[in-house]
Amino acid sequence: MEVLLCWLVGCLFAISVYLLLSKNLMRVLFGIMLIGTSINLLIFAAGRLTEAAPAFIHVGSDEALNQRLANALPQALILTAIVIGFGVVSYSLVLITKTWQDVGTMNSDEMDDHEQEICSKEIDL
Amino acid sequence: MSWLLTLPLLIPLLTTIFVLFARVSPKLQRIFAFCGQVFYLFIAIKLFIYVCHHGYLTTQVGSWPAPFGITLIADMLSAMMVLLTAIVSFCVTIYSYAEIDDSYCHSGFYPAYFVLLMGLNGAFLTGDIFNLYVWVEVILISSFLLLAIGGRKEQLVGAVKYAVLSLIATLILLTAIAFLYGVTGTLNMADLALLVLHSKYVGLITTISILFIIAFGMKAALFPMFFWLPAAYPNTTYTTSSIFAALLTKVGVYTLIRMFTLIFLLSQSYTHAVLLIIACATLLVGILCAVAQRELRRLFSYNLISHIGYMIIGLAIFSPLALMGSLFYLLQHILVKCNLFLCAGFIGRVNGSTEYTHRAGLYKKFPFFALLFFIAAFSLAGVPPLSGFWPKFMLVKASLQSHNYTAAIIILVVSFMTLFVMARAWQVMFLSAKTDKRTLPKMTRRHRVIMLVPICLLSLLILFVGIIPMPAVMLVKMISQQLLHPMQYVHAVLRR
Repeated sequence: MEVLLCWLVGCLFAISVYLLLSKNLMRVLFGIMLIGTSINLLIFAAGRLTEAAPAFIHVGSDEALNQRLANALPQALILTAIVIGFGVVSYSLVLITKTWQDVGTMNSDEMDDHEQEICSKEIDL
Repeated sequence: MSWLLTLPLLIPLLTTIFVLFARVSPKLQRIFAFCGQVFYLFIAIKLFIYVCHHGYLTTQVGSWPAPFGITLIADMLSAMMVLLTAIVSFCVTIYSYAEIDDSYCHSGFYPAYFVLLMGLNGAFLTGDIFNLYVWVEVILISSFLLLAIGGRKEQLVGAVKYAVLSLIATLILLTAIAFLYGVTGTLNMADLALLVLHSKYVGLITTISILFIIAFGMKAALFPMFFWLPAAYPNTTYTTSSIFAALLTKVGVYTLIRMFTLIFLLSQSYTHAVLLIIACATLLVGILCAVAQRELRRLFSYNLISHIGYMIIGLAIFSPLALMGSLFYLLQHILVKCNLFLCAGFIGRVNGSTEYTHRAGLYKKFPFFALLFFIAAFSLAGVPPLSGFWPKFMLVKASLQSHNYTAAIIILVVSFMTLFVMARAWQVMFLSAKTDKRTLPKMTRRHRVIMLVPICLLSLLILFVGIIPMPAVMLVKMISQQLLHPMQYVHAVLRR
């Protein structure tokens, strides 16, 4: 079962890297979102997949020591990573939208040319 | 005394909250920022003195025992970095009163600035590797905000490039942390040190350490991964570029030193060879790019990239003298780079632009400022008796002692080229006559004094470290001894 998860993570990494290498900024953002998701799955796989009960212990009960409980630490790591990814992606969306409104293009090659134009305009002053 | 560990995190957070409440009044924002900054400097000095006497200061957040809970630990390297952050941010806050006008204050400059400081302190004081990732993300998001405030076109283009490349860096960091957790089962750095030492998966851990080199190397702007820095730093406000240049890349250097002196001590012949090659490449490529630059801040950015190579070369050689040279370089480079970017800001305000085509001839009008710039620029180049000379001497001696003759030659060649580049900047901006006769907006005397005070403070510190190096050398020797005995760190965390 873990082998399947590892293959999935590998395929998602490959798709994300392909998206990250494209010129259109929206596709780069999709690549970042997808690679974030696949890293969350990687953390999940690193915590080992088991058939176990949820990691809750009722107050005053001893039976927790007898049954297998799920590993709670990777769940905490994944939650943190999801929240951080959410904040970062929402900021990136606003940044790309404002760049599109002001600079006029989403193509990173044209943005490079634009930057050259701006710099050479300053020299002409 | 554990409050000495949490206060560097709490004081900037409280300042952010107060500044956010005072959103409508920029004057009140500046007062809160100054008060917060003074408290933070006081606490940083107290923490440094305590750690110099006692060696380590640890606490467990929430009283969960190590290695299950999150450890906050200050050893001498962390305390030195927190103190340097406090000094540099104090100077940049004073400088910001001359540049950050009311519209920037309304857009939220000071909250983002103090969240950045909180993230920096967290990264330096944490003892848990996933917590390090969280603080690096806090630094990242606040740096996004600071870069984009102002909203000019070149700022947005630079911010987009910085955002994408830094995001990829933190995602690679998260991947490396996931793999390390999968192999060892713990996140606490002290526990990792013990488990990695006794681990049977040597090849796997070496591969993970290379992933960490890539992730932190992107943060530290090492050789093939530094292209975000010259895209972002020269285009933003002068205040922002000063605080970034002084501190953001040094987080990457600090974490590399921490990982490779504490955790990844297996197969050092391989990992340190990789670090040596990357450091030499960074030195050469950075300074070659710098020679071609015709604008002050872009020049300083490429110089910054090149000089990160000095700090990593000391780590790669890994003898006590080399580590001492690397740490001394780190100490003086933070002060010198901040000073240089603040000077570039002053020149930009006085002259209208920092391009070489607009020669400034500032030596006649501002001779005192010319002296301050001279101290900073030629300290970067390594001219004795200024502060850049001593660590370069230590690094050359260490590389000759460990028979790395190529490294010694590269260090000397790059120093010579840095001298050339700085001398040309000095000549263009100060000695040659002013070429264009544009009328510029008059700078008030108050703004000029506000801008000169932090430059003076930093220049005095640089002079002190340069002309009387013994205190700094003793400090760096103690830090290097602490770093080379990682079992003391493990004992400080896991036995208490």
